[in-house]
Amino acid sequence: MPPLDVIVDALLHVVLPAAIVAFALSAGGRFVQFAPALGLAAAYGLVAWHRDLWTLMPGESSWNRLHYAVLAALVIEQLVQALPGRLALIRCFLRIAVSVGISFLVIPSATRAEVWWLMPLLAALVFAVWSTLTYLAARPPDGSVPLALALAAFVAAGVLVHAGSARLTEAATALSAALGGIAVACILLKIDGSSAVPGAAVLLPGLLLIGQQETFSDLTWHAFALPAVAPLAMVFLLPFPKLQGFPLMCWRLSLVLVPLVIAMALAMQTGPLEFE
Amino acid sequence: MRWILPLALAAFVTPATMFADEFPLTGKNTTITFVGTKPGGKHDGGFKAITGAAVVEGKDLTSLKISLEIDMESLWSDNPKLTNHLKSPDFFGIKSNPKTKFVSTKVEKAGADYKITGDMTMCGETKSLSFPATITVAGGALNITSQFAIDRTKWGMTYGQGKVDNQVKLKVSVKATK
Repeated sequence: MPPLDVIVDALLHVVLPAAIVAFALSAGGRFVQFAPALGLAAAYGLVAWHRDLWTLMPGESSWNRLHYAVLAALVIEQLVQALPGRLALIRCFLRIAVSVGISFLVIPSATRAEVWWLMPLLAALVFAVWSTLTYLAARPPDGSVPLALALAAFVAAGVLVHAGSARLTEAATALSAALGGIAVACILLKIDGSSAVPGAAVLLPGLLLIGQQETFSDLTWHAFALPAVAPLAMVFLLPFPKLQGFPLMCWRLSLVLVPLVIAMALAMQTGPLEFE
Repeated sequence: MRWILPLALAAFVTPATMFADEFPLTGKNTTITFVGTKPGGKHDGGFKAITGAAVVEGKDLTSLKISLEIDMESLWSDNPKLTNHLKSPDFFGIKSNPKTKFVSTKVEKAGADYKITGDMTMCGETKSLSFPATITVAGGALNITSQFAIDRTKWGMTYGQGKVDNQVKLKVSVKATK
């Protein structure tokens, strides 16, 4: 466990501001559909500015485009939602195009050349999480999807701290807190939090990929991959339409927790954290 | 007539290069170490893989030209976990910024010692850097020693301000032979 002063500092300067801002803005979801997206962008952006997280890598690295990619995904989703329902194919195409574009622009060219399959993998993951969880978040709007994403981001923070990057850990913590705030708003006010999903679909795997590629630790790639794919576990409940209400929420979160617990266990195998 | 230009060029160029001594710089004859400090603590570190050259024309030490490249993978510190942390995006981000380079642009006399000015490229950013140094050339050996501090935030290493001091002390020692 990190020392108490580090935990208190993170609570006061990362978790609380992100959660409060995200909750306050998401509560407007009763009036405008994009309120949760605004809540995520404002909450994460505020903490990123306050904690100097806007630049994830020193120097001019294309990884630093990740935050712009998050904003792009949130805005594109609003355009996608504005399209008539009969244009489902165009919706799908737009999401695919943006996922591929983001992956191409964010992963450095040297990394793409070295590991050719990384770009299509990230694009596929972003698209899968984006499309699937946007669909699930509204069926029903019970807050389980933002809560599952918040848990995944929290475990991602745990993996990244074991990987040895405090900056990426804080970024994942801020994402987790913002999604937590959105989840609380969704649960209390029965809001559809789907507009925030594209932001998390880009930022969560993006931070984990930066951690996997740019840090030096004994962590296996599974520890980075599991929190990124964990929210997709909720699709296994699609064949059970009769499952509704609180039991559905419990099942969804239970399924997501399985890969998250494995990821955390893998991360903790690297030994105790040092804060000297 | 057509021989005049090459001959004239040779007349100007030859004396300078004839008396220029080149000293190869390696991790064996050049040490670069640093001390990072924070409230209530400090850590030592350095770099093992260094390549480059120092060129001096005659006995004029202000003619010294240094070109140096550090392989950031060779970064070490007094704690293995700290070494990994320093290599991470929080500090050097060495997978994206694998080399640090220094190329001198001017060496001038400063009292009994010298002041070396040059461009240092670190974390993908090139900034001018000046530092005092003691330089001697004797018996076919070049000796340079220097201690100075740099502000890490000038090279975009902004993480942890307030927890880790911005000023990092550097110690450079060169004992090179031709």
